[in-house]
Amino acid sequence: MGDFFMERVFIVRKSFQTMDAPFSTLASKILAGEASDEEKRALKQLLLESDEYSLMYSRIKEYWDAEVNTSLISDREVFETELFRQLNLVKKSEKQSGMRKLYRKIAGVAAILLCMVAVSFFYLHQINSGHTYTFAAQNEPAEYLLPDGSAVTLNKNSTLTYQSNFGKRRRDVRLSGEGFFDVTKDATRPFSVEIAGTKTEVLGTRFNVKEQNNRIITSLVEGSVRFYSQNCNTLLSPGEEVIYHTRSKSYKISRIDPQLRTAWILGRLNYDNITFEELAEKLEQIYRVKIEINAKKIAGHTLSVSFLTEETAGDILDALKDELGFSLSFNADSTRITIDNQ
Amino acid sequence: MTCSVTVNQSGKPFYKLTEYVHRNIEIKKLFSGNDPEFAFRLIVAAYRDKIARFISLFVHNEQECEELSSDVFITLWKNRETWDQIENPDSYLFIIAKNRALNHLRKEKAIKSVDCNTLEIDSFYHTKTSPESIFITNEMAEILDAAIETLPAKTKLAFHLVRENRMKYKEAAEVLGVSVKTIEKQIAFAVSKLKEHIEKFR
Repeated sequence: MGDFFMERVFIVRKSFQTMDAPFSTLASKILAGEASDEEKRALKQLLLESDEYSLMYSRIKEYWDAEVNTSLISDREVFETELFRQLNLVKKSEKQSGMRKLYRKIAGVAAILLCMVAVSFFYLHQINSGHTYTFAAQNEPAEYLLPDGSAVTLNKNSTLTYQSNFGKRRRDVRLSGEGFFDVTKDATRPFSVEIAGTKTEVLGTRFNVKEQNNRIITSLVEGSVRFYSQNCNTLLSPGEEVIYHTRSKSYKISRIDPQLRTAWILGRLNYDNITFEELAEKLEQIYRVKIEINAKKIAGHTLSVSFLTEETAGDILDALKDELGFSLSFNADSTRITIDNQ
Repeated sequence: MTCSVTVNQSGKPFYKLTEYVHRNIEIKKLFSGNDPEFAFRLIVAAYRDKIARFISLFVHNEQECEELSSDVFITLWKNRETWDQIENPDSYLFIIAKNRALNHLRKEKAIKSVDCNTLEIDSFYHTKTSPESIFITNEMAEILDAAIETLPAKTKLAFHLVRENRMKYKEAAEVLGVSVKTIEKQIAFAVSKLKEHIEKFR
């Protein structure tokens, strides 16, 4: 008897919800192809019951489906001819930069040889008469596969080189710029990344290495890595990073959110179930702004968000303000954002 | 890179391939194929008008629209090494287009960042809306175009993507960098605006 009663209550509530959904909400979902079966049924019912709604829907649908003709590209043939002319230019410059890289490689090898004589005290680097391979990402991040199956994503304007003896006994690569490494496990052949006189050695793990303003930042996502340079030799655990200053030779280890260091790969950050206050802290770190929350009620609100790293903190908060019900204000140079109750 | 292009390269007229390319899934196949230039040609043919039209919402100058659309495709070409990782070609291309357009505005206005809320979005730059004239006349279509023009900038962009490019809310959300819920609300608001103007018309 009790169960029966519950069921009745449930059904009544359900039908109340759908019947009451306003016409525009239902119609928009159906036009956009986003409606559930239940919503489709609800609109159908609504249209059957009222001629007025029925005519209204037909009109809106006809407008929605109407063809919008444009004459923006006046001559498609001309457009394509011009486009393929540009494409050929790009192809040519790609070839040239390949040649330039080859010259640079030759110059690089010569420099290494010279350096070997002068600064062999630091570590011995295997020289091999074999080939040097170079990966270079230009204007956008790009992912490359190494012969051992390890993957490296290079940030724009970054290069990675390795020798043809890669993988024989060791897996040594040299990086400039920034790279995220997903290294295939192989305990017998250590994998090492050399950058600006420092080395990061691993067996199989995922980590990010970056050179920026005379600092080397190695951040570990998973596994373990050993970072060493002239006066530093340290083991990192997941979620830790070492910042090494190449000038002062000093270093510091701190805990980080690894996602922040790898966001450049996808150009996107995702957070599940974090409070608004935590999100504000993250935004402060990423965008170097100060966020002041005066609306205390909202601070503890949990949410799941996903945003592009190229957006500004203001854009992101702006997108959330209606949902959470707060208002935003900026100081003159947009370095401080204040959040108040709406 | 084992997947190959399944389109017959010779003999078929180009426009038929264009229709073929309209479906996202097929483009994904093309992207991971072994003839990037062939894939590129098909994608240009399928998207040039859509991309130019989208850019024209931001940039109200024919020549500039054409140049920026061309830039979008060149960017696509330069990134061909990463094509096989593109999850959704539709939103991928529109994101590039949006960024190109915003960059252009930034440079033009010599400002650091463009505030999406104050963008001057022209939803119907150089277009003509032609309904089937069963339930609405050309005159009413014009009034409804004008009604859409009164919406906030971000809502206009969402409406354009969902209505003219048949994008899913999720794809439109990706392109505009907002939540799916926001798109849902924006489209419902646009439809309620249409309803309001149709009611007034009578």
